[in-house]
Amino acid sequence: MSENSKILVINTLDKGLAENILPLFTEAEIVNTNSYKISPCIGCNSCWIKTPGKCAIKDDYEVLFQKILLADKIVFLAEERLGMVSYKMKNIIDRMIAVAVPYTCIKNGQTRHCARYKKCWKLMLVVVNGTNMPYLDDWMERVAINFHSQSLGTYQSLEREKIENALYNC
Amino acid sequence: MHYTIVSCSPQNKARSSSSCIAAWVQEVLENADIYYINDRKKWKICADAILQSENVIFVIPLYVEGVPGIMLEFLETLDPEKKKAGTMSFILQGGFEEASQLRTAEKYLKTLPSYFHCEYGGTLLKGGMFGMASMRGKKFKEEMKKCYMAAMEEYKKKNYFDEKTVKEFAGPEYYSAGMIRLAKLVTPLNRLVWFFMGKRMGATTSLKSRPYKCN
Repeated sequence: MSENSKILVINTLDKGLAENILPLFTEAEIVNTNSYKISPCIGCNSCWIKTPGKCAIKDDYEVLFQKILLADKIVFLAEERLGMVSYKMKNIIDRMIAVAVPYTCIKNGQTRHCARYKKCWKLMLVVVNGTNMPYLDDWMERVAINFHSQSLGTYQSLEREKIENALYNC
Repeated sequence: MHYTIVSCSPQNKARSSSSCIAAWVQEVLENADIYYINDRKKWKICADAILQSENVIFVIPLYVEGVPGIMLEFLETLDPEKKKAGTMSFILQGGFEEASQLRTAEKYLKTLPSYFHCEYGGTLLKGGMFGMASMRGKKFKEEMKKCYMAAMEEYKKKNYFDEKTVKEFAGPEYYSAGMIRLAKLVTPLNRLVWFFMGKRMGATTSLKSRPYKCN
């Protein structure tokens, strides 16, 4: 692993589901978000216009967001529900939109919101009870594009070797 | 035939493009009720209506390549085993113009009805809808109203969004090479528009501000 790579694991799993997977992330800061109060994004655009870069909702997301900004690699640890990441994880990812500015540019033939910070995160999605993995992999690729970042892939929580390899050797 | 329309925007009705579109849809379908998931106190009523309905239409704003987190939270409260068999259709709208921007979310919506033992009734999708309800002016809103209502008239005939309607409605998948060159040329204008929009909405700092430390 690169010596300077800071890894953040954002865990939205209930304790029972997380027990077996969390020990994998020995070199990461793990944030167990079940103790955080994180509301859904309300699409108010404050983080783009009124208070650029800052979410208007005053809850525990601000603490998490600041950790996101300081990390180099982010592991999103979520349960799959209804073929998608759980709402808890989607809320966290929705509110990451503050890493973009409202200005747009064309990148690889598509419109994108420009990046607020000169940073390319490496993002990984690890899923428990995953049944819709090819879709989730596509989705995470697109999420990474939105945030001017790179996807390290999407994995089932049981794919320990692949997760370690992708996380520590990329 | 009765329809249940669900506006899936977390914003209040006045600001929400989804709520606006839901109202137009109701006007065409006539025998339809609208529910709004931005009001958590009404979730139980909304959930009961969906479970009992044979024709549900979700009107959804695109949030980071998918549906809003609040919509997922709401859906997770529904018991699929209590869902009456029927059709779930979707109206998806996003800010970027290109239809390709909505295809990942559309891919998800194709699978969603199966979790509730329902048939997929198609997804009507459209880009370029940022701020339609509250920021883009009356003329644009009227234009969009005509488009949506025409698409819903087609929907009414078959009870699903057919491929032809969806393709015509969505518009181009990508910008043409000429449009991309033009977009790059007018970048300074884009910045100016946002600058003035920011001022109008009370921005006091640069829209590019970096309020937090980032390595």
